[in-house]
Amino acid sequence: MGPGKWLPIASGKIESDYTFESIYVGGAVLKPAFLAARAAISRLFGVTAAKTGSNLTIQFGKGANQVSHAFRHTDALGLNRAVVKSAVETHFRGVSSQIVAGKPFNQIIEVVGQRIQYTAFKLKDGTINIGRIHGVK
Amino acid sequence: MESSRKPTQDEMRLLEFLVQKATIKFPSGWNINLLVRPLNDEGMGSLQLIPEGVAIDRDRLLGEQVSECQFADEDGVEVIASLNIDGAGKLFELDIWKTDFSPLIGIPKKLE
Repeated sequence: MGPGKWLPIASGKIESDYTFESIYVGGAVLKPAFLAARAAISRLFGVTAAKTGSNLTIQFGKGANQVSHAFRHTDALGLNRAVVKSAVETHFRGVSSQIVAGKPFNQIIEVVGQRIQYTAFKLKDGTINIGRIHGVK
Repeated sequence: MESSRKPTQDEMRLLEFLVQKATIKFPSGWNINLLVRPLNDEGMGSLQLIPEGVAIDRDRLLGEQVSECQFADEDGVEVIASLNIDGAGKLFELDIWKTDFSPLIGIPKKLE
C-alpha cells in the first residue's frame, strides 16, 4: 500500500503529504475503512491534520519492502510487527516534542519484555519517519 | 534476495570509515574477501555483510550496532549509515537509511 496524499483543494494549494496509518495482520497490510473515510472527508473539506502528538504523520517506510526492512530485526526476534509498531507509535507520540528536525532521535522501549531501540527522524515538512528498529541488551 | 558480490569502491569507503570509528576493534584484514549482498530496502543501499569464513546462507542475528554516521545525499536529504555486527561479533550489516525513504543517489567522497 503506498502513501496517500492530500488532493489539491479549491485554492489550488496542495496541503501536505499524508501517509495513511496501516494495521498489520499476519503479514498483510490492511487499511481500515474508517481511515479511508477520514481521509476522504479531510480531502473534501481541505482539512490538514495538525502535527500534534496524537495525530503526527509517522511512516515506517514508503512501500511494503521498506516496512519489512524496518522491522526485519524485530521480526527475527519473533516479535509481532503490529505490536512493535503500535508500541513505537504510542511511545513516540509521548516524546515527540523532544525531537529535533534533522537529527536522529533514538529511543529505547520495552515490547513484550524485549528492549527495543528505534530511531525517529523529523523531515522538514514535519513528517516523522522511523527506521532502525532493533533489539538492544 | 540479490546474489553476493564484492563491495563497490564507494561502499568500501563507507565501510572503512565506519569500521575506523566503531566501538569495537576489528582485526586487520577484516575487508579481505568481504562479500556483500544488497538488502531489499528499495534502493537505499543497505547491505548484508559476509566476512571471510562466514557461510553465505548461514542464518545470523543482529548483535549490536557499533558505529554510525550521517551525511547528506546529493539531493540534500539526510542519510544515516550504521554498521551492525552479529552475535558472534562478525560484520553483519551496513544499514543505510535515507531518512525520507527515497533511493540513495550516492555515497559522498568525503565522510565526516
